[in-house]
Amino acid sequence: MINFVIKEDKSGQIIDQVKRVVTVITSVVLIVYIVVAAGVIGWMVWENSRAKKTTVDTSDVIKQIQDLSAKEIVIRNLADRANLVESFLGERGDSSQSAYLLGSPGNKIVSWNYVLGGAEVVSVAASQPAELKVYMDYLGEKYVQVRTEKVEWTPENGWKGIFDVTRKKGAT
Amino acid sequence: MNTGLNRFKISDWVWIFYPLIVVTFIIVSAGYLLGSGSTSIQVLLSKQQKTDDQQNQLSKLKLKLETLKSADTDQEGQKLTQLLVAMPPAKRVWYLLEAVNKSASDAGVLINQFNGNVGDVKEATASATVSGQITPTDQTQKTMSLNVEFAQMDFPSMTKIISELEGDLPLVKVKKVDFTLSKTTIDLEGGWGQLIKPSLDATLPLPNYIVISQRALQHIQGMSDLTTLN
Repeated sequence: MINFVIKEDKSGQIIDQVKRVVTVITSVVLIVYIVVAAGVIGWMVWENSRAKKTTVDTSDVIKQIQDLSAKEIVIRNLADRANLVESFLGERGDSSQSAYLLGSPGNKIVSWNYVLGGAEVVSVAASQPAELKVYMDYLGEKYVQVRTEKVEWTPENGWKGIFDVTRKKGAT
Repeated sequence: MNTGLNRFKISDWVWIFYPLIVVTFIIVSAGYLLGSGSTSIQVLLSKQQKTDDQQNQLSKLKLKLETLKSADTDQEGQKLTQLLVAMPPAKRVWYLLEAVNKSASDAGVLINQFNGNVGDVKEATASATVSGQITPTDQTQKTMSLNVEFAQMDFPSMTKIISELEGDLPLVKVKKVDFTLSKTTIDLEGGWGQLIKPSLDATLPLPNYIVISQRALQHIQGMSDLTTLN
């Protein structure tokens, strides 16, 4: 059976619909893009001006610091000299404290060999061996390591003890 | 057959140029904004990082400037003078000799001999080195040492001598003592240190000079200043 009803041409309507959709989407994309691009451009401008301002401020502060260079020389020399003094004091040990420690009980020290940073060898004269024992005990209280090198007796000089001591207690 | 062709009009299809132009515009402009030359995002991000770093540096510089402005040059200069007495800028062997003579005299002990290794005695201003130029070899060559032989003395006298030497300014280091009842030799080192020309790079931070100098001054407080003796 043949249909003689005239078929309606809908292609024009479809094209209009597509046109409307494409136009709307394009407009939305364009607006969003313009907003984003404006933001990016604004950020670029702000970033550039911030960089310029920072550079100018830095140069200005450096100039002011350079104007105060005389003060800076005094300050740096002061700090250098203070460090030098501290370093010298830190390295010089305490020979006098060692001498006080070794001689303080009233014992008769007959020889003492001291080397900065090294072991000390001390010889003490005594009338009895017991005095040497007391002195060694005393050294044990004051030094980390005490070693009896030698004990001597001669009719002319009597008793003599030679002790090797290392590192005072409490010293760093 | 000709019906469809007759109905096609160009004006009906002009709208298609709108999305085409927009897409082209977006591609071209975004390409320029994001990817080319000084406007590329990467360049801008690195620039932002550089500016942030520069601002951090600026904060430190401002702090340094404030410190410099608030520093009292007269007061710090006096402290420097005191510390220069403790560690003179040149080898002042005469003070070392005076320290030894004075301590021996106070202990009532005679000196048999001096033996010094003084080296070049340079004025610091002429030979000052720039910060960072001192090598370990320079450090070892710059000691001012003195070997002193004392005549007969007892241990308390010797203790008094080295105690006095350690309490003198300029500073003295007792490096070696060989004490016997017949004679005593003491190796000494006199403290000194060349002035170092400070590097005046404005971006270098200042040392914590107040604390450092205060600590050093406390350590030398009460010591006997030989430079003021006639």
